[in-house]
Amino acid sequence: MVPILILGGPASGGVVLQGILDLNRHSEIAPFECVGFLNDAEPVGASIHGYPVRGGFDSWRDYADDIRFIGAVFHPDEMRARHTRVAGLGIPEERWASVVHPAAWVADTATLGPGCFIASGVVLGPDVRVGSRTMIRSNVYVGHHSTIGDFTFIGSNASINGRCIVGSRVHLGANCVLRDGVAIGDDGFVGIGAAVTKDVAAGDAVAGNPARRLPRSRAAGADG
Amino acid sequence: MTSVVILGGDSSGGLVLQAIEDLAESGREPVLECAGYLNDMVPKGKMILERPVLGGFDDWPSLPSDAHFISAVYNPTGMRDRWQRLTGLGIPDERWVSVLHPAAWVARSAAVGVGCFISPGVVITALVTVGAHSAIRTGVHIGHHATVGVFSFVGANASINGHCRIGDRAHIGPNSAIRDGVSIGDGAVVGIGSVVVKDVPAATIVAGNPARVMRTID
Repeated sequence: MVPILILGGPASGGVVLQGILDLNRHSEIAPFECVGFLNDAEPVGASIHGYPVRGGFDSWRDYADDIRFIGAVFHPDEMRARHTRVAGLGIPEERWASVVHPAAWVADTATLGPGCFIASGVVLGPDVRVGSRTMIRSNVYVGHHSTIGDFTFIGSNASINGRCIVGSRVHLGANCVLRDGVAIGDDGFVGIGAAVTKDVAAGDAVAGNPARRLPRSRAAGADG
Repeated sequence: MTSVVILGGDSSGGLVLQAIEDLAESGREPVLECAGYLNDMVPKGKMILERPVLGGFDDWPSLPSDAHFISAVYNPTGMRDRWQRLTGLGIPDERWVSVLHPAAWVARSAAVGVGCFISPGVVITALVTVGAHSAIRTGVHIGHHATVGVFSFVGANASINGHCRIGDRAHIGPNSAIRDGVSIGDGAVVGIGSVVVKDVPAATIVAGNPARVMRTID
């Protein structure tokens, strides 16, 4: 079993923890052993879902080379700041591990970068490319030939259709849907349930059906 | 072991191929094996997702008599043309095969026609009827007593509620929701993420929440 530390807390971190536990329960050889959390807000020794907080994010260097990391630190309004924080830690690529829930269906021709979390019921179609440290929540569909960037969050039940290009540090709200071939620029934001029929420029926020641009200050999300 | 030939390419056809492989790996019946593709654009002998192109659609009679077929040729506003192309081939019903992903849930009392593709996470509940050659994509819910016609497409994560009637050659966009008992006419198109609360006439495009008529299809 590969020991793994989760960067995060009880919310998204709890989702990742359950993914690891489900994966272990449904695998012949349990791939991971969660050895705790790194968390900047909780004190060392605190418990998150029964697992210990071992330190802040910066303490990652204290752990042996065989320890792997996965991040769960997304916030719809702070994607860039959170990404800067995580990237600034300098954790080497080979120390990040991806967790794919046993009830997710990843096409043989799809690829995933390190440090991703893929939840139950997710389907990644043929030739899908997912970057590093991206989180894809339950029942999301990603259609053939679509690409998803780094450190992007896709909320549950979203449908990304074929040949879409989703950038890095993007937040796609739960239940949103992207028409075939639509591009969402880096740092873009899509509100919950939005139906996106046109490209979204980098840094822009959209919501509604059909999705329309809205001031970034009003684009508060609902899922952290 | 049933030999399956996919009429289509690397997009919708790739999803069907992946489902065939997932089914084989799951150890569940029926045991299917993809022998390759028929494709009107990619020349014979080329590969699609590491499977050979065996010819164009019209070459189907040249294949061994134990080859079975499934189509993956949907297009939101070209459903009628695609359907005409497909039926014009004259492939007999017994040569079509349906592919049900091992992670789809189909009620025992539901009926699924020949040549259908049912994706992972789909839930087809009691007494549902799905007509031949239809594709039901990932995560779709089809409520009790609902019917889906022949050669219709239901996009990912759509919810079709109880007693709905979806016609033939209809295209239901991903993430759309259709209220209980609503009818969608033949050849109609429901836009992505639409919330349909009223019947939709044949050959009509609706979109939005609540869904409104955008235009009709000639």
